[in-house]
Amino acid sequence: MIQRLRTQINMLNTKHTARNNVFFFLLALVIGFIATLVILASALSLRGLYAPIQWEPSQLSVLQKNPTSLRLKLASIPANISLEHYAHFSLSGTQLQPTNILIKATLSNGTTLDFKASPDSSAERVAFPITLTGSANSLLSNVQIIFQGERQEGASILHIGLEPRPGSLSIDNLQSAHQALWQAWMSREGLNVYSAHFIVGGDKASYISSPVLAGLLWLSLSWFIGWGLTHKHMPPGAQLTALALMGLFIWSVIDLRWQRDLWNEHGEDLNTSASALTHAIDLQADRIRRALPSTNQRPDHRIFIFSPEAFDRLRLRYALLPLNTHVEARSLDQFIPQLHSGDTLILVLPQNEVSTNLTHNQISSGGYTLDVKPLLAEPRLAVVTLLAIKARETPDREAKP
Amino acid sequence: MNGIFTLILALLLPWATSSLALYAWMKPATDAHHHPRWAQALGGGYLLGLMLSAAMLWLSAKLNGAFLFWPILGLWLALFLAALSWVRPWQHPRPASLGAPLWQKLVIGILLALIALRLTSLGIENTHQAMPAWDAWVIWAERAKTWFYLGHLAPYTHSDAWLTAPHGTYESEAAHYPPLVSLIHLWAALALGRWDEALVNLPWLGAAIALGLTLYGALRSTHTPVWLAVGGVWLLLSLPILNSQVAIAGYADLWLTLAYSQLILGLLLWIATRQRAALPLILLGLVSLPLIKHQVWLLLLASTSPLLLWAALTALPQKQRTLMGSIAILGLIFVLGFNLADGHLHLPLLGEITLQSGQLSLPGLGHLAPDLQRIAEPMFFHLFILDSWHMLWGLTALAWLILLIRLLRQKQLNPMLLALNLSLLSALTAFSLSYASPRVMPFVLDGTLLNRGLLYLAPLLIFVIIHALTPDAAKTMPRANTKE
Repeated sequence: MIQRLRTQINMLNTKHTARNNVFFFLLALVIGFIATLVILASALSLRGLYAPIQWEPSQLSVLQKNPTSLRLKLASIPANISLEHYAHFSLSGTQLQPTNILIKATLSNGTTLDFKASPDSSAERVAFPITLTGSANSLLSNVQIIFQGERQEGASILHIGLEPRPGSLSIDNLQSAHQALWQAWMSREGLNVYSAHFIVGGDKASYISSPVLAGLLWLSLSWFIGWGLTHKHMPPGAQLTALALMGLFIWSVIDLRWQRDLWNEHGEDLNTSASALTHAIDLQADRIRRALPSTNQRPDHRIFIFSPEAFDRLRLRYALLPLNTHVEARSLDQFIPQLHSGDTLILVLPQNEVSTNLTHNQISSGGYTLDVKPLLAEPRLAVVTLLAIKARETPDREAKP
Repeated sequence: MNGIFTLILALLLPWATSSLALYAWMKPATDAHHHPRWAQALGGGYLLGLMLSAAMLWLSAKLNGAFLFWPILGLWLALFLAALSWVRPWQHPRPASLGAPLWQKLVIGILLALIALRLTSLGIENTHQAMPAWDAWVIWAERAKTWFYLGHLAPYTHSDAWLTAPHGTYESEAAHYPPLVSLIHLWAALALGRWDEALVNLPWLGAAIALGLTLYGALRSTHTPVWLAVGGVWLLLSLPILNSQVAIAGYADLWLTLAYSQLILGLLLWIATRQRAALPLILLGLVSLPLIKHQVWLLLLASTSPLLLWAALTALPQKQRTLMGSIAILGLIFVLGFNLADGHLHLPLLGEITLQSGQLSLPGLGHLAPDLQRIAEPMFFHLFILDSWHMLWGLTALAWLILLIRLLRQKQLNPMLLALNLSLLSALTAFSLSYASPRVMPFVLDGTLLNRGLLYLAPLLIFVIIHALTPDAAKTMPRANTKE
C-alpha cells in the first residue's frame, strides 16, 4: 500500500497543477495532525505521569481533631491518577507519626476511592504507598484524609500531596494516560483547562498540552511534510534542523514565562520556608554565642552539638563559626565516654533518649547522669558545661580531666 | 554599600589583568576576522584571575601567617596598569562590523536583552539569599568563614579524627577537598571587610558570565555565525540547572564546569585551528581542575580527553606524532607496570584502583558492579521530564540525529565535531557506569547528584546543538594543516 502511495505521489509530483497542490496540502495536514497528536500526547503522557498532585494549606480544612486521629477535607483538584503514588505530608512542629492513613475521594466519573495504607518510610517525610486505579485527568473531589495514630500536639500540616511513586512508569500507564489525553482533548473541559494554563502560566506540561501550541506544531509539521512531498532534492537533515529551530522557539516561549514568574516572585519575597528555617538557626546561634563565657569561645575549646536532625546540627555548626564545634550523629549516651569535664554540650531537643533536669543541674541519658552547669535553657535547646559524669548503677566518678 | 565597591574592584581587577595577559599570549591569530580572542580571554581570564588571587592569599597566609588582602589588591592594580601599557588594547584593530542582515541584528539584540534580563534576575537572587545551598555551608563556605574570622588558615580534619587532633583543628566531612573554592569565598569576604552570607557568593554570577563568554569564543572560533553563537550563550545561561547554581550559589560545580569547558573547548580549538591561542586555555583547564574538586575531574578527563588528544595529535606532523605517541605509550607502560604489579594503582589525591580476583574497584565508586537498569528511569525522568534541563537533552538527541544524517550522506564529518561527539558519548558512558555503581547510586536515585554531575557537559552539548544547526560550518572550517 505504501509502495502504491509513493508511486501515486511520484506521479503527482511530476505535474505541479493546482489540483495536485490541493491534494498535497490536504495530505500534509492529515499526516501533520497525526504526527502532532502522537508527539504531544506522548510528551504530555510522560510529563503527566510524573506530575504531583498537591494541596496547599489554604485548600485544607480540619473536620475532626483529637489526640489519636485527624480528619481533613481537601479542595477538589484535577489529577492524573493512573499509577502508584506516594502520599506525603509536610508538617510544622514535630513530625506527625500516624500508623494508618485512610483516603476517601470521588472521581469525576462517579467512582468512589477508599484507601487504607501504612507508613512506608518516615526517614525524611511521612510517605505512604497507595495505588490509585482511576482514569487519568480526573477531578478528585470530596477528598478526605484521616490519620490514625499518635499525633504530637501542636503539629499542623503544611501541605499534603500525592506524588507519583518512582519506578511506577509502565507501558500500561503510558497507554492509559495516552487515551486519557485524547479524551481530554476531545472534551471541552480539557481544552479550557489547558488554554487557561497557557495564558496564566503553569509548568511545562501545560505548554505541551496547550491547544495553541498544538495548532502551531500541526501547521509547522504540515508545512514541512508538504515541503518534503513536493521537493525531491532536500538539503540533508533540513526537516530535522527546522524541528530543532522550532524546539528553540518553544524553549524561548517557556523560558520567557518562567522569567515572568521569577520576576513576580521577586516582587513578593525571596524568603522561603527553607530560608526561614536557616534564619531561625542563625538566631539560635546568636543566643548560644551570647550565653557562652569567653573562655568557651576560644578555638581550642571543645564544643559538642547533639541533634537527631542532620540539617539542624550541621547548620548550627556553620552558624556558630568560628566556634570550634564537633557535630555528633550518635546519641548522647553512646558518646558520653568521649566527653571530658569542661566540655560544652549543645543539645537540640527534644531527643527521646535525653532527659534534662536543669533546675537540678542534671542531664540523664542511657545509663548515665551528667552533672552540668546550665548556660542556656530553652524549650528546644539546652547549652551546658559538663562538670561530671555518673554511671547510673555504679558509684559516682569524675569526668576525665 | 559598605565594601561592595571593593568587592566589585576585587573581582574586576584580577579579571581584567588576567584577560589582558591571556589576550596577549593567544596572539597571533592567523584568522583575525573570525577569531574573537577577546571573548576567550575574558572567559578564561576570570578563572585565572580568581585562581591567582586565591593562590596569593594562600601563600601570604602560609608565609606571613595572615591574609594580605590589600597588598594583593595593590599588586593587581599595578599588574593591571602594566598589562594595559604592554598589551595596549586600544591600538589593536577593531573587530570588523557584523555585516549581518537586519533580521540577524534584530535577533542578536533580542537575545542580548534576554541574557541581560536573565543575569539581572539571577543577580538579585544571588545577592539576596543567605547561603542557601547545603554543600556551600557544609563544605566550601564553612572553611572560608572560619579562615576569615580567625585571619589565618586554620587546619581542618575529618570529624572522626577531630577528637585526637591538635587543639585548634576544625572538623569537616570535606577536609580533604582542595581549597580553591573556599579561597574564592574568602577573597570576596576580605574585599567586603565582613562575612556577608549572600554577597560572598557574588563571584558565582561572574563565573556564569565567564562561562557564557567562553562558549561564545569557542563557537565564533569555529566559524559559527554571530547570531547563533549568541543564541548558544542564551541557551546556556537560560538553562535552569545552571541558573540554580548561580541563584543558590556556593557549590563547586559551576567552577568545575568553567574549568572543564576551558580545557575541552581549548582542545577543540586546537583541533579546528591549530593555533597557539588554544594552549593557554588547555593549560588553564588542566591546572585549575584538580584545585577545585578531585572526585569528578578524573572521570571527566579519563572519559573525554583521550579522544580529543588523539584528534589533536593526528594534526601534528608525522615525526612529532610518532615521538609524542611513543612517549605517551612508554609513560603509560611505566606507570601501569610500576603500580599495577600487585593489583593496586595509587593515584595521587584520589586513592587506589585495585584489580583483584577479577573485580575492579575505583576510587570514590567502590567495586564496579553497575546496575544500569535501576538508574535508567531516574535518568530519563530528570533529563527529559523534569524542568531542570529545559529541553536540552531532547535538542541534543535531535542534534545527534542531524549530525548522523550528515555523516551518512556526506561520508565525512568535521574532525572536531567527530572527536567531540565521541568524547561526549564516552563521558556519558562513564557517567552512567559511575551512577550505576552501588556507592553513587543512592545519590542518583534521590536526585542530589545526577544533574550536578552532568552539568559539566552542558556547554559542550550546546556547542554540538549549535554546530548541528550550522551545516555550512563544516565547509568553512579551516582544515588540519599537517605540514605546519
